[in-house]
Amino acid sequence: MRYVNAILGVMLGLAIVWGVGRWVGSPHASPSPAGPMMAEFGPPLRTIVVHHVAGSDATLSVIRAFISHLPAEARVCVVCPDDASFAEFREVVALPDERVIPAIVNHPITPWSRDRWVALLPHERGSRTVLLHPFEEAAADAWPARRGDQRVAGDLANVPQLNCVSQMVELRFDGGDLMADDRHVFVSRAVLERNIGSAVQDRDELLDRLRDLFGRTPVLLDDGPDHHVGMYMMSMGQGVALVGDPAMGLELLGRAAAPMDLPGGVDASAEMQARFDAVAQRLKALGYRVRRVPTLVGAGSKAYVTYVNVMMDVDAAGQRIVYMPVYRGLEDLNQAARDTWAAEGFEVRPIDCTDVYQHGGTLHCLVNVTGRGAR
Amino acid sequence: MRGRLNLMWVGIWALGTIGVCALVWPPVQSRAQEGIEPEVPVRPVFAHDGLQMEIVIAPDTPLKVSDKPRLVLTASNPTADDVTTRVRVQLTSQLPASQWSRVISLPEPFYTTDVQITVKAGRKAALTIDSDQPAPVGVIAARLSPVPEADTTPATDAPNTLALLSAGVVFPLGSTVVDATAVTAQAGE
Repeated sequence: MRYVNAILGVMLGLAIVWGVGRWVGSPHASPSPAGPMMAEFGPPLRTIVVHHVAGSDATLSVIRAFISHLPAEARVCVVCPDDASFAEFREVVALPDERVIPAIVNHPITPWSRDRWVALLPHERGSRTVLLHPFEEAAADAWPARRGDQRVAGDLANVPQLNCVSQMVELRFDGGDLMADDRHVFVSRAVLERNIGSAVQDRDELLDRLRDLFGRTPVLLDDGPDHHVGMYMMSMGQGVALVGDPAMGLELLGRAAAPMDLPGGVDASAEMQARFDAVAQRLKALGYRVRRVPTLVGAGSKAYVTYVNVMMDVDAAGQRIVYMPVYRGLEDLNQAARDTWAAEGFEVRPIDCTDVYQHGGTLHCLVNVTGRGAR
Repeated sequence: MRGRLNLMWVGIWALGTIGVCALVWPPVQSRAQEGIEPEVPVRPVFAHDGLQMEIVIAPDTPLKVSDKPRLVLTASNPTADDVTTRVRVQLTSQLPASQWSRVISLPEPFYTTDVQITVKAGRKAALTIDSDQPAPVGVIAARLSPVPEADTTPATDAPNTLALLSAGVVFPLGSTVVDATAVTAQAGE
């Protein structure tokens, strides 16, 4: 009977540990089953993730403007390197406590949440969203904030309200190098350049790997501009895609001076135009109805005046909404872009990105999403 | 008590089991906090003419701004024949444009040379290359590519890196810190 007491005791202990483990969670469990990569559109936004670093006023103004439009049901996870940054965010962005999920990580980060990880949908109802992240950030060796960015997916996996698990893969990518719709995952040329010869042997192996990881047909945009996908194209849903057009941007710009803070002036080269055109042609070949929208590209830089770097949502009545960057002093371009989105049935909500675009990204680059679904 | 279920002993065994699990749990948790996960990155390898090549920058000491980088090119020959080949070695630098930048700049080449290397069948060989150009501030990367067939003279001008990249023949082969402090100081606005 002594052994029966011991066996029962050990079983009881293990049962308690198992129960506690289930409750607390094991955020870095071995590779989790996951669904496909979350699409840019679909059910209403439920949980978004933004970063804030004290002093980054330009990015905070964009985030504040975006959040002010969100419905009361949407929650905002705020990743900050320290308490001071979080306090600054709370002071500037008016949100009730119940909508804010703080994540004070105590290490440096950049203000750009989009590039840190991509969200894979839960494998089944009730399971966790998987935050897939690369094993290293570009330039992490020399850029302390980027080195900290490498840890953010793991940090978020430890935030219980997000119900996420992080998973690292051997590929090198920024989150912005990938964009998904309901059929495809669009992949920037950088993913090809950074992984062939290291993570994979050749293009075919890379495509197979991307298909396995993201659960959608990969489309390598290797003739496209040397930037993140969301800077030059966006799949709008319903088989329509929007691609930037530098020539259209220049035409609308007319004789007006280029924006003062566009580094190096505007790139009007035929080579740059050809890169955007190549993306449009590729999407047409895939069966998309392609619309063009004006864009301006900084010569020799990654500063783009772009109208595809958007966030899309849908309201309770099914009305599709787009939060679209706009730029002070570029009213003709803004209006042309607004008309394009509106013509596809979107309610357009402009977000002023004048002070941020010269840093290489706008609205979409500042906002990531862990949850979409019914409110 | 003999021969009967003793709840006290069951409780003691249960607590002991929980205690043992608690000892095992902290290392797992701290590993999770660090974001350490099981997959191990693979070092980039450049395959060319049957050789497997790797390159490292300043392998002995940390590279500083204005140092002339020393590179070590290692090639292994898994084939049954001796192999002699030429490759183009290029050093590039990149910087974030500002403290709040989302991206680093396009790679800017500052040193390019072509080297010849011979490796006997089934053996390894290493070649040391000293740059004659000082390293600028930034992330320094060494890249290997085939020497273009028409180009028989040693490279003096940097090739168009983007064009080569789009052809898929240049491979980023690791980067190293030049001077993180200098990067931050220069990037600050």
